Amino acid sequence: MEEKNENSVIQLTPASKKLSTRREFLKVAGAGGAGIIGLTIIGNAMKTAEAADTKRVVWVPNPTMMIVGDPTRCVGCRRCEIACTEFNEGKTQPSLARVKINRNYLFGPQGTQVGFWNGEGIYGNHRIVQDTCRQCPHPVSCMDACPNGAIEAVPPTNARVVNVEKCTGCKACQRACPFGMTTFNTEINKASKCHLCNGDPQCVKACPTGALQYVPWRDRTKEMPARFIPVSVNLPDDVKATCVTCHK
Amino acid sequence: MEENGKHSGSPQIIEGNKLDNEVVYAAIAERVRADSTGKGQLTSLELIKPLVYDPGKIQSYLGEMMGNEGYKDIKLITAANGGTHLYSEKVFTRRDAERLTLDEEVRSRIINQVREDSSKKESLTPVSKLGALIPGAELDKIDNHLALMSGDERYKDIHIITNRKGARYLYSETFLTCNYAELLARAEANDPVAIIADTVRDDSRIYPRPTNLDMFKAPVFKIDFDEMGRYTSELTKSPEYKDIKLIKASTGAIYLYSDLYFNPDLAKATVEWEEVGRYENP
Amino acid sequence: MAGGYTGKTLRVDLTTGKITAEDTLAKYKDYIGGAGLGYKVLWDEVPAGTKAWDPVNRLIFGVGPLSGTGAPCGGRVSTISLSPPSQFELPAVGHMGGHWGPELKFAGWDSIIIQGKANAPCWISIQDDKVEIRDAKKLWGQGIFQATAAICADIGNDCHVAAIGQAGENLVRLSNVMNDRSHSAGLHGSVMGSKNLKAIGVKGTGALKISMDKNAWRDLVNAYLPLMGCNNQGVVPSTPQSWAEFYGSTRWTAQKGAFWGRATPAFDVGICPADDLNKMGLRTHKGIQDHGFELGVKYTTRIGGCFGCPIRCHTAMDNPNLEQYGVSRFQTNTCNGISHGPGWYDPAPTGEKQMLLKQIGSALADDYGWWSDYGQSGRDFVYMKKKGLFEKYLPAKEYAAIPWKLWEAQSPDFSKWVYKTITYKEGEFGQAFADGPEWMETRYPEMKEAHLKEYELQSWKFGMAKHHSTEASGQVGALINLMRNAHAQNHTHSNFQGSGLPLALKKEIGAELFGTPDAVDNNNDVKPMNAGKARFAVLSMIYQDLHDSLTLCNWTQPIWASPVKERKYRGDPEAEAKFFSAVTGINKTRGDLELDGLRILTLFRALTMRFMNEADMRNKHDLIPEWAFTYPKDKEPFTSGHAKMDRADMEKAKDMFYEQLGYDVKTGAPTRAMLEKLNMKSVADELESTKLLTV
Repeated sequence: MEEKNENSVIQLTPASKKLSTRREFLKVAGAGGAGIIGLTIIGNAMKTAEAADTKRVVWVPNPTMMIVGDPTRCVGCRRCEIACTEFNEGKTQPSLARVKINRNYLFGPQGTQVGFWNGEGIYGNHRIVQDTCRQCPHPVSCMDACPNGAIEAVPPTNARVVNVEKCTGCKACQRACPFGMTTFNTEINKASKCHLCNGDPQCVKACPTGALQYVPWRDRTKEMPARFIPVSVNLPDDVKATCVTCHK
Repeated sequence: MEENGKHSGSPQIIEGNKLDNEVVYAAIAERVRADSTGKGQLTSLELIKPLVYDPGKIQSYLGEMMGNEGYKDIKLITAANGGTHLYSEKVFTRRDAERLTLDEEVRSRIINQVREDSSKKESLTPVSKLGALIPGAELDKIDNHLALMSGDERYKDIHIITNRKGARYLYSETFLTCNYAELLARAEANDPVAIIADTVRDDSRIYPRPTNLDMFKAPVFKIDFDEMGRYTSELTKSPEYKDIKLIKASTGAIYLYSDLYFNPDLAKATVEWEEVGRYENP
Repeated sequence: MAGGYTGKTLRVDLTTGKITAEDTLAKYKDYIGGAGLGYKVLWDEVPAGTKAWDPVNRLIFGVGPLSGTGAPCGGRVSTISLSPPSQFELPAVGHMGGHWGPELKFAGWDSIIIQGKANAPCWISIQDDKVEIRDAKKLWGQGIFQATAAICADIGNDCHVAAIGQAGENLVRLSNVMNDRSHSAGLHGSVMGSKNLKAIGVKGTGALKISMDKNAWRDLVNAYLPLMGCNNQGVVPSTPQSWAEFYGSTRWTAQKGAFWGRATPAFDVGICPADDLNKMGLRTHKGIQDHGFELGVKYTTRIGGCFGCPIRCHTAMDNPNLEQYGVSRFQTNTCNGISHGPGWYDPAPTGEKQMLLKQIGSALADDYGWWSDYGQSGRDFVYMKKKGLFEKYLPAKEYAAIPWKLWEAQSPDFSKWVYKTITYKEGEFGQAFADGPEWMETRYPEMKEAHLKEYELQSWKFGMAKHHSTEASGQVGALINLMRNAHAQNHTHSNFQGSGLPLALKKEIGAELFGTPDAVDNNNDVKPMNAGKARFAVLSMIYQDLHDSLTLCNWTQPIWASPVKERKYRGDPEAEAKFFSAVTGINKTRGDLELDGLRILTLFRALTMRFMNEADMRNKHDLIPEWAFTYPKDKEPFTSGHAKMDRADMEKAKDMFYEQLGYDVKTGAPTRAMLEKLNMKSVADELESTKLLTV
């Protein structure tokens, strides 16, 4: 029943058939396993490619650098979270921090569960997993979900950075990131994400055990399971219009 | 910048940071002539750079300077290892200067070796092995080099240390503290009993504290710990070390102390603190 | 608005269910926050004659303007209330680290004041400004671990929970409040229990403002970090290392071969030189301190600790052997939080057995929420066993039922029995040990005498443990115990003494700080009292209360010595003032803050006087145990090799101590003159009206 509706509504030209249905897309992207970073396209929201008349630069070059955490060394002091906002915004606010320790600190990335003493975190095996921005390769979830093109790859690192002048605070990027790495600055009502401190990451400097390293970029999006599978994200029209240029 | 020879100090600063060229030329010339005349040595470009406002432009400075009648005697020479030096032609011929660059090169090699040994290997550089760095070395020439190095502010991190066997070693204080170098030098003497005694005396004097025998497992001492029983036995029997006493803690741990600085009561109390008290009062 | 502060203090009345917010600075500015704020609340709101479990008693969870910021180390929270372990239920401060205090700040609260009593077990949920009193029926009777997990499942894995275990619920006097697995605030667990309050779960998404320009702030922090040493402020490594001039006897145990052996993969912390700030968290291989080199290296997974602290000190270990005893193989705690376990046994266990008993002890205590009172209970137990006091005082049947065979075998099963029996107050034994060492003096007169006379019991006065005393800095160590109503827990003096620097350097620095090099003796080589020592003691007291108010960790500050040779190993005594001014924007000098610290300490003194109803602090409260003057038996004071005190000298010490505080030398009580100078006229008035003020 559902499938029939999707097919009839979409009415795709052969060029965009590969991403015609949610089910097909998920099959291709390997949903449920590790490594999904794809965008979910839902039913009615999609117009045909030809209907959109503006395009956006969607493909961006890979970053040159990234921040990687070694959980063996993380001691849970959170001076990285502190440095992230104190040295960028001049305030202490772990919820805004763009490196995430606190949410995995007590019970690990899995969170509370039966038998938590066999899990991770300090109530489990003491392992503290740091969450850092993957600075995703194309397609960049947060960037493509943004209706205003407010997330840009900024040289020289090509970090994916929120342009606060374009951001309208809609939080689409927060819903889109499978790793839960975008944050929100409630003071100015703008999204935020790791920008590698413009090539001089403060969290890396602040770490007292060297558990965070600033290293050449590699694709980490398929290394570990996503924190959640993003749903309810509509690709903005100008993004969709550009996708079909390559994905026919 | 350190006083050296007849160097008169930094030139005047006029108009913010810019230095009056004339003043700078005069300072450079003074330094070079002083080194040439007084020390009989070349002056490294590295020593001149601090005098100049923009060290990156040093070559053009010198070019201008040497075009000046009053400084015609100041000459440049480049050594084979790339180092640039100045000298006064009033004192040295070109031939002399070339010969002196060879000396500079030798010292430079020694310094690099010492700094590498100190930083990468955390070890001393034996003076006796310096011959390998100097082709056709003569021992008295080495002492000459060492003497000149010790006056050179480029090398003020380099120190020489002599152990009780009279063997001399070089190290760089940038990478090894003096105290640590002292321990290394002692170890080189290959006299475990002496190392133990000297260390125990130091600990008793400086901190003061008795020394846990286990401390000598530390790699810096290069002691074969299996032989420790024999060494302590020799130690306590030797008249040279009759101030060194052995003491056992209630835990069975063995310590040594020097009674030149420690009375038995204090030694016992300190040892008990180290072994028991510290853990009862975490 | 001042930076650092959130501006709002939360008040929860469990009797009425009323939840209100107060203006922090309007009411508590003079007392900074944390312990100071707590003392002010007690002073203003809890009348003389109140007992710890009375609903009108307040329990304050106090954090300060620096808590939660990047000022190292701002993770601790002070708990202030009347103290159930105290024979007289005098006011006292507990403290715990972890991340709960900072989370409270991020939720927008400077402190919490709890009063009254709920009519059924409850817990408080704080999610930013949404504060609710929730039903704790399902949590009550659970250990701290399960209660925490349940609350996190409710309000989120990123919340932090302060909870009591069954010990606090059962009104075991020796019980604590804990957060984040291993961080314990002793003394007040049963106060929460008496209020039917199981836990406080906090989740905060807010921000703390740093007044200083962000780049200048970063520079300030980065200039300070290199001055820190290792855990307990050792500033030299424990073995000869190439970067260091000195070495020995510190917790800077990082060296080649110092593995975190059970990390995955195992990891050698190696040499950690002073100038490598990306290794400062590795300097203290606490496993080596807590369990010895071999076992520490073999079983440690990592070294953890509190929010914002770059020096770590909680040893986390993996010992699969533990699972057969029904506890997790993963254990973590620090210092006495680990070492109380083997303290029940005699002879003292050693080796792997000792480690096992340590881990079992902390596994049980940290879940039951039992507080070890710095190991006093274990020492009392061993003493009573030796002297046949159990046979004397326990009913015969109860005595026979105690698993003594397990005790002789030093079996973890005995540990399980002991912690459970105390937590559930089973029998005379359970009740006696649940009440703790101070109350035991009222129960068993032999223990009162033993606490005063027997050095091995390491008790200071009224039955409370010593922590630390004459063994660290002679008279100074004695003085820092006098004013407290629970074990002193002062590390200012002992850390300076234990820095690892040569005595000559310590004396030099001591001269700069205290006025004379004679302020600093060699350990166990005590010389007669002098004004410098009094100053040393006074500053140790002031800085302890100041740190408990700011809050900053008293194990890593004040920075009086540093590992930096270029600074001649000097630290930065101005650091607290710099951080306070930078964060809050309220400019204070070191002298200003020391005055604030004195005010806070003095209010604490006034509280003690009120609740003890005693004007003569010197002779009735500031007591020194007999053993301080008699142990060791065959030694004379001021000879080498011990820390035996001389009575006349200690009287002189008290004179100088009170003088420097500005207190009346005869009574050790604050005078009206100094109270008014400190802006505490109302305190003077009240003390006078209750006939407690003599000068």
